[in-house]
Amino acid sequence: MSKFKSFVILHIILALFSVSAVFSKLAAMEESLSFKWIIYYGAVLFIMFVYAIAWQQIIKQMPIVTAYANKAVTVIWGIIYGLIIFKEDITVPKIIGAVIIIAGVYLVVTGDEYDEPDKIRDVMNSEAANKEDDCR
Amino acid sequence: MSPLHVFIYVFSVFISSVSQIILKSSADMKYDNKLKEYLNPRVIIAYGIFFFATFVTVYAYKGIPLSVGPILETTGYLWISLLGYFILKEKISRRKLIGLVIVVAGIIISCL
Repeated sequence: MSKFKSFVILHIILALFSVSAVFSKLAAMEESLSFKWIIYYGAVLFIMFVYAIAWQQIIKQMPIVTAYANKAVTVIWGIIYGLIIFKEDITVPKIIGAVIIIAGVYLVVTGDEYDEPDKIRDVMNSEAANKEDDCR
Repeated sequence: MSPLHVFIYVFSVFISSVSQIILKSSADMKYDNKLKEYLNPRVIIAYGIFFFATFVTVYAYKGIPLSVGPILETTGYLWISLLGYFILKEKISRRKLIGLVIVVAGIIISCL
């Protein structure tokens, strides 16, 4: 599978996964354990089950870090579905907050990866500093 | 938006994170056969907790808009990192720590 294709599929999976939150909210608007509640809650569990299988497959196609970093897009889907389906307000703080969260998630999921290069760079810098001292 | 329901949602994310840590601790263990790898007390308890968490999430949505749910869901990165640090003795790099602070700041800003 090409990188682009697996990337597109990842985002289709994430957009569909975000629909499970829509069903959670729909269930919340019904009386608990009523017929409609059971249908909506069943839909939540069904989507999560399909998502779990699809996720396992897609992470074979790309680095896990890439998959987790892109998962933050569900924050945007929540805002879009909220607006379209439940007529929720999109406020400026919500948009700014969402962008900040996505930036933060990127740092979190790439945190481990960059730990080692940081150390290597520090060592190289100290070595370079030592060489400068030697030259003087 | 009710603060109580925000708390309940964050609680559901927390217990869901706990279930992930239990699954991880189970994955690190050695098993006699494939069946025991999937059907052992840790895995069953983990999925039980996860199932309960989805139930709690639905209850929390009674008091919060849909758009706030996925935002509060990102507290999971914080819980996983903290539980990993204290229980699995996993390190938190400086870059990750900065990221976690930014995520929490973003959550607070979006809920203003």
